[in-house]
Amino acid sequence: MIAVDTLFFYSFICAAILIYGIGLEKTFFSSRIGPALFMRLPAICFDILLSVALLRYLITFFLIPYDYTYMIPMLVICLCGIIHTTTGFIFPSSQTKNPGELLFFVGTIFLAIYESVTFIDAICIAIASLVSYVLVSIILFSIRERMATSSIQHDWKGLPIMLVSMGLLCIILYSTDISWWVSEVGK
Amino acid sequence: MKKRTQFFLFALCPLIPLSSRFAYGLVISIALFWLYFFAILMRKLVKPFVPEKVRFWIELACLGFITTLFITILKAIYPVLVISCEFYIYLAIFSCMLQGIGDSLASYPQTVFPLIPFILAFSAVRELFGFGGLSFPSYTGFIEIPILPQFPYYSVRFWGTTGGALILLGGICWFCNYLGHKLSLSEGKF
Repeated sequence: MIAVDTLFFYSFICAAILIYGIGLEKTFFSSRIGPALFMRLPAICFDILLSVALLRYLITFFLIPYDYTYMIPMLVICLCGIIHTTTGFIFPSSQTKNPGELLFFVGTIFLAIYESVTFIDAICIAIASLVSYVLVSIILFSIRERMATSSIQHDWKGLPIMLVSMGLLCIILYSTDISWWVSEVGK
Repeated sequence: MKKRTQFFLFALCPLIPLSSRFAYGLVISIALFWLYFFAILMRKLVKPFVPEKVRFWIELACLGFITTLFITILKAIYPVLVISCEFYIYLAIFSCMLQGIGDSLASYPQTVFPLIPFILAFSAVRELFGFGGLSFPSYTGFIEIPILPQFPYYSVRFWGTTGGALILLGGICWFCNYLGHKLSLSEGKF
């Protein structure tokens, strides 16, 4: 049940996209193209989960016992680079040059490694980040569609109304903290 | 140019949680300056020797090393503050890379440099409206200086949250758009 709780916490209450801002840029620009953004999701998913699993193993069995914890950020960056480049060679279609996507990839792994205590925790946080990314992208895409047909004041169109919507979304997702599901089922 | 401004604004989004206090804003501003400086230097050093396919990762690793150095220095000066800042300072590397600082600074210095005072001003406004004062970093954490003494009673701590910050940013963007249109209209009249 702790795993479910972690999954809910990082998907909604403390969504990586909105609370930590990881991938917010990617979500904002991807939400313009709608369903096409899901095309590359399996590749990102595979990269993230593989990196998190490998990093958690190395940190738990090598860095923490030998007190090399200060090397964790460098290890995260180097290993992410190696895994991303290797998978790019094996599956050329998964290779991306989009900095927003690369940063969402590294940021999510960084968050999963920094916030987790156990291996399961790390995997749950990584999955939750992906869930929040998909969720926020879909909601922003819907907001954009509604905005296109609405008679909103010109100065509010585009970035200002999207930022306000994201702010409200952040508050709404936070309200799941007091929801029946999290307080009762997630116990 | 408009898309570039949006790009820069969103690149700063990982720093929103940290700009809730002026003390944090001050630390992240110094960190950003440090990162920007070395990012430009790195780009000049790395570009001629490293193939483009792996350049991103080499630059990221170099910046990671430089950030680790910065955090080690920061740990000696503000050992308590660094606990909450460390994660976001590392995230700042990613936003730094997202902005492509090395290239952008040469092409758009007017867009990149104002980000540092902007984040400083943004954190000051958020803390002032959210907590009624300003805080400064100290060895034991941060020192709070109350400026609006009645504020804790009429709590608007909402501005201190991420949701509040995003709404505030939206408001600032609207104001900039509004001002831009007004100015362009008045210029058209004359």
